[in-house]
Amino acid sequence: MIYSFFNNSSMSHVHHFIFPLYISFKLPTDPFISLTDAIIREYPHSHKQLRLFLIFVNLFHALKAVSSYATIVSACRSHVYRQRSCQIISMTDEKSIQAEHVEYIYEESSDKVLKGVSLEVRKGEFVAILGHNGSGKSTLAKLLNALYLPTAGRIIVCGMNTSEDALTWDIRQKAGMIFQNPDNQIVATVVREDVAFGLENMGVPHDEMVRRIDKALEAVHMSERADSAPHMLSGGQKQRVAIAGVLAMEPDIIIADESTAMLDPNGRKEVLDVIHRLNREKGITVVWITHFMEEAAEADRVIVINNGDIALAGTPNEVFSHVDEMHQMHLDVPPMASLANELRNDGMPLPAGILTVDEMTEEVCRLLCPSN
Amino acid sequence: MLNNITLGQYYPVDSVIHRLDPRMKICLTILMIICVFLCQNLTGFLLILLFVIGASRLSRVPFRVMMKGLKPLRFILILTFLLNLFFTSGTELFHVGFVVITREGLRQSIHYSLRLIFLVVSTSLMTLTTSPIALSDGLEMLLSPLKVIHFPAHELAMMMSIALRFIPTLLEETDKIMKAQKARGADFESGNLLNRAKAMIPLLVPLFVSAFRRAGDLAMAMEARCYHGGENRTRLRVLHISRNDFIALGAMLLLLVLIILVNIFVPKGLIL
Repeated sequence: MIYSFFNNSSMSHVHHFIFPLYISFKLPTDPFISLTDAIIREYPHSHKQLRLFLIFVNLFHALKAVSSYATIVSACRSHVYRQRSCQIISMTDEKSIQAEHVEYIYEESSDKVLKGVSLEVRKGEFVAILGHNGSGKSTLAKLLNALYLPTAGRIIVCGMNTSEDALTWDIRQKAGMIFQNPDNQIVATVVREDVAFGLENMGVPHDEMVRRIDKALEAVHMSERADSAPHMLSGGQKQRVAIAGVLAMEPDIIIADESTAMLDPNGRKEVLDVIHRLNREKGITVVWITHFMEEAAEADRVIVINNGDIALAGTPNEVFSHVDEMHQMHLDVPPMASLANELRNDGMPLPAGILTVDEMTEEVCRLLCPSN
Repeated sequence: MLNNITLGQYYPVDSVIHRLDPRMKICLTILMIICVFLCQNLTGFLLILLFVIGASRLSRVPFRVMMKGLKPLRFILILTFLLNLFFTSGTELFHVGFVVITREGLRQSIHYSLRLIFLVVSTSLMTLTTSPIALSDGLEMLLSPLKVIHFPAHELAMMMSIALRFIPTLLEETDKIMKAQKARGADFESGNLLNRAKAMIPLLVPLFVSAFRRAGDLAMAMEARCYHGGENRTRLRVLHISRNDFIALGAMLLLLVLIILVNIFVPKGLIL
């Protein structure tokens, strides 16, 4: 587990250096080692080979560490990398985000915007967060990458506690954020330079920067517009540029705070396509805050926030079958879920969790002609 | 309406002058201003004229565009010329009624007008051939030694580039608000100056409110992308001093030396 955690992180060159040290310190209690111990117990004849193998692994990493020593030294010069020496709390690689009893109070008021929210987001998951205006969902988004700090409770992003000052920049690199207004998050006068903004802040060297920018723009299909001025782009294109700007920083998580709310249907589709593809192909964890039910319906998991607390959570099918509760929270459900609910209330024995027209057709057909 | 907005005066063609390093261009402009002020006689001004014509031909900016910068200055030019002409005492050349034209007056008025013209033309040659972004980059680099005394060079450049970024956005918004207010019966065109100024209030208030909101959003977005000031920042746009920059500098220094020599060896008043 620990082994893969280190390998998965993009700062692996630092950890190739730390890993052998880490192993040698932690040897007796380490789960990885106890796993090998277990194997040794099971297959005593392979004892010697395994030991040898472990030594070999350590040697290999030590060699790698030496070879990347120069890289580390140059990297440590930059602000961001310098802070990497802080402790990493969670050792499991399964959770991207872990919020524990998070409360938040804005300075100017005494009301709690969030009242003890606890949630977990797994690596590679696409989680939609739903809630009506003022439910606290935007606040939650800003807590996830240390733009706000929780008044009580704690948030751990990629193993880093957001309340720890020294980790702020690491967290923001790992958990990129896209905002609602496409105009208000583009900093530079040319698309390419805007994508570069985050990289410039991180202190990435010039050549590496150019490479990453090209890759990021290609991933959001904006390569042809690399030299355009932002005000010449459509809303959907601007949001894709914003995604590219975050993507270039090579994040593990993308948090989108109602990023489609100000777009027309076409733009919304463009942005959603891109983000779903990134989630699927690059395994980027997505936290998608929205009030569009259709968008939430496409997520792996939906969390409904109401009055600063989690009201419902589960797969889209589970959540949207609570039609009446959703209505009480001033939230809509997808039209088919609503229709299914009405039909159920009228005595039609439809199963829960119908979201799309296809599912509805199938269920109705099954009811009408059970023979097929 | 906003599709082809050009910011500042920048005239986007490709030329040797356009490709010069912005830092160098700023320095050259300062040297040029020194030349213009040092120059004491017409021979010197002739040299400057030749230099400016040469540079403007190299820059491929049309003459007409270059002269545009002078247009708003025409009243000041005429005023400077006339005031110096009529109110300088010295040896009399001739007089029309009570108006006495002196030798010194004529000399001074021509010199001052020429200085003004060359100042404007040479600075606008810089702004015409340098994009505002390059200009702010150049300024940042030139001012960066002042960071030692806590002069906010990076912050100033960042502010400038953000301002440039938001000019089209805010113009678009002004247009939108104007239309919205017109649709509700606002009148921006008629009435005297005071009334028209008053009519701007319902335009400016929402514009300012939205600009502040934008500023807040942008600050948040910048922080989310790890912005923490100018420390340890790398740049996508890297400025390079090339051979051409040194040639330009050489030409400018040559001009400066020539002007000084002319001042020393060509006596005043020989040719005006």
